[in-house]
Order: sequence, then structure tokens, then C-alpha cells
Amino acid sequence: MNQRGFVLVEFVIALPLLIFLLYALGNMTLTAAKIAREQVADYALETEAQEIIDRITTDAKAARSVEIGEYFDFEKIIFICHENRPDKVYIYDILDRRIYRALGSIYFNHKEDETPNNPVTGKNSFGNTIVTDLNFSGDFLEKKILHITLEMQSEVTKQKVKFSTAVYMPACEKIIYHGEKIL
Amino acid sequence: MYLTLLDVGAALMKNERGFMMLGAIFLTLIVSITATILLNANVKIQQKNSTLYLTAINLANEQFAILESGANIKIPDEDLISLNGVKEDSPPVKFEVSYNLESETATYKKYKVTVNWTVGGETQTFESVKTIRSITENPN
Repeated sequence: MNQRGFVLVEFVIALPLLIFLLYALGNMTLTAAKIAREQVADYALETEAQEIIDRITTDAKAARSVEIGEYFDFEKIIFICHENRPDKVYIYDILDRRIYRALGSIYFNHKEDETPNNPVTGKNSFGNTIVTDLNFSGDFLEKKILHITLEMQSEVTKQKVKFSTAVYMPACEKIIYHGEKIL
Repeated sequence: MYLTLLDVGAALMKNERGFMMLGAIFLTLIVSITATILLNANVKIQQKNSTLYLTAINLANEQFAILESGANIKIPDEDLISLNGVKEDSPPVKFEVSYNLESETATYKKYKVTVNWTVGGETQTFESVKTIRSITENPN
């Protein structure tokens, strides 16, 4: 009887401790999962923002002509690049119009003859992102410098990132900014 | 005779087994507390200004674009103030961009761009070196 009593007292101490421990472990697991999801979502946000800037700067460096204009809430930009492609004996000068524009906060990059069905941003299983602001400043365009400001937001964490950069367009011969010919 | 939960518990924890279970619980508790501390520390390390670092890279590229064009202009002030990765009640982060001509040839110049910013009293630095072509006016 004495031994049974001792086990009972011990059980009374151990059971609440066990419940507390399981609660703490469960809580910690949920917190860790939440933090992990937020971190992955923020990482996806940064990656997608940088992806847009990288694509724009890459095309800008090769652009012979640039057109910037309004497209719904954001600005759209079209780079016209001439590509010399050797084809057998002849060399063809191919005109390539690469369009960057946002449709419903989702950003698309496509060629003129293509339907925009492959977005650069949004629909990311790691955390959806939306473009909240994108503009191409005309301040330095006469110097062939394209100034880009991009702001994006994660729909998971509501975190916003804003990146500003510029790219020099050495091959650019013609710039049209909102209908006005700058170069 | 009905078997209650207490009977099952008592049967499971007879004599020394009870001590073992208490020991196991305390040990798990200590391990979980340690894991929590480490987990929090790990999150703080991972979140150390990765967005600000990316901002600095873009600012360095902006400075390179200006240098490459040969234009006598500066990075706009609004680009040098950022709220990226900053909590709502914290002040914005100010970036300082400077450049240095490392070496020069007739056609190329090698520039080093340094971006500095301070968060929580700690100054971070990003440095980038790029060789760019010198701009010369076409006499024709």
C-alpha cells in the first residue's frame, strides 16, 4: 500500500508535467513552422523582385530602342533588340520586342507575339507575391541610364521590399518616354 | 472490477519506473528549452539584413551605371533611404555609396564601389569591383 501511494503521488506530479511538456513542444513546433513559412515567403519575395530587376537590366543592356508607357496601374516597358543570327550563308537582322508589364499585380515578361501566360511573379507555392509599384524614371534617360524602382509585397507576411537600381544602355539609339521622344 | 486510468498509470510506473519517467520528462524539458533558445538564435542569424544586402547590391549597380555612362550625376537621395527588412517602429536605414578608381588604361577603368549602412549600431559593408569601358566622344 505504501509503495502504491508513492507511485500515485509521483504520477500526480508527472502527469501535469507531461501535459505541460507536450503543450510546450506542440507550441514550439507550430512557432517553428510559422517562422519557417514566413522566412521562405520572404525569400521568395526577394528572389522574385531580383528576378524582375535582373531580366529588365539584361534586356536594357542589349536594347537598341526603349519604349516606356502607361499600362493600367503600372508602367510597361518594351525593349527592342536587334539580334544578328547567322543562318547558313545569310545573316538576318531579327527585330525582337520584349515587353514587361503587370496584369492585376502579377508581372509578365513576354515577346510581342506571345500571349502573357507565364508570369514572373505570383502563383508561388512558397508564398504569393504581388507588385505594388513599378516605375521607370525619366530623369537620366537622356544619359542612356534607365532608373528602375520596384516595390513588391508578400501576401503571406505582408512584408514589403523596395529596390532601386539603374542600368546603362550603351547600344540604345531611341527612347520614347510616355509618348515623348527623349533620344 | 473496472480498470481505471490511474490503475494503468500505476501499473506502468511501478517503483523505479516512476523515477525513470520523471527523469525522462525532466531531460526532455531541458532539451526542449535548449532547442528553443538555439532555434531563436538561428532565426536571428538568418534574418540578418539579407534584404538590406540585396538593396546594397542594387545601389552598387546603380553607381556602376552612372560611372559607365560618364554622366556627372548622383544617386537620388530617395534611393539611399530604405525600409527594407526594418520593423514598423524602427527608423529607416540610410545607405552611403562611395566609389574609388582602382586602375585605368586608355580604354578601361576599374572602379570599386563601397556601400555602407548601419543597423543596430553595427555597420555593414558591401564592396564590388567592376571594369568598365571609358566613354569617349565621337569627333564625327
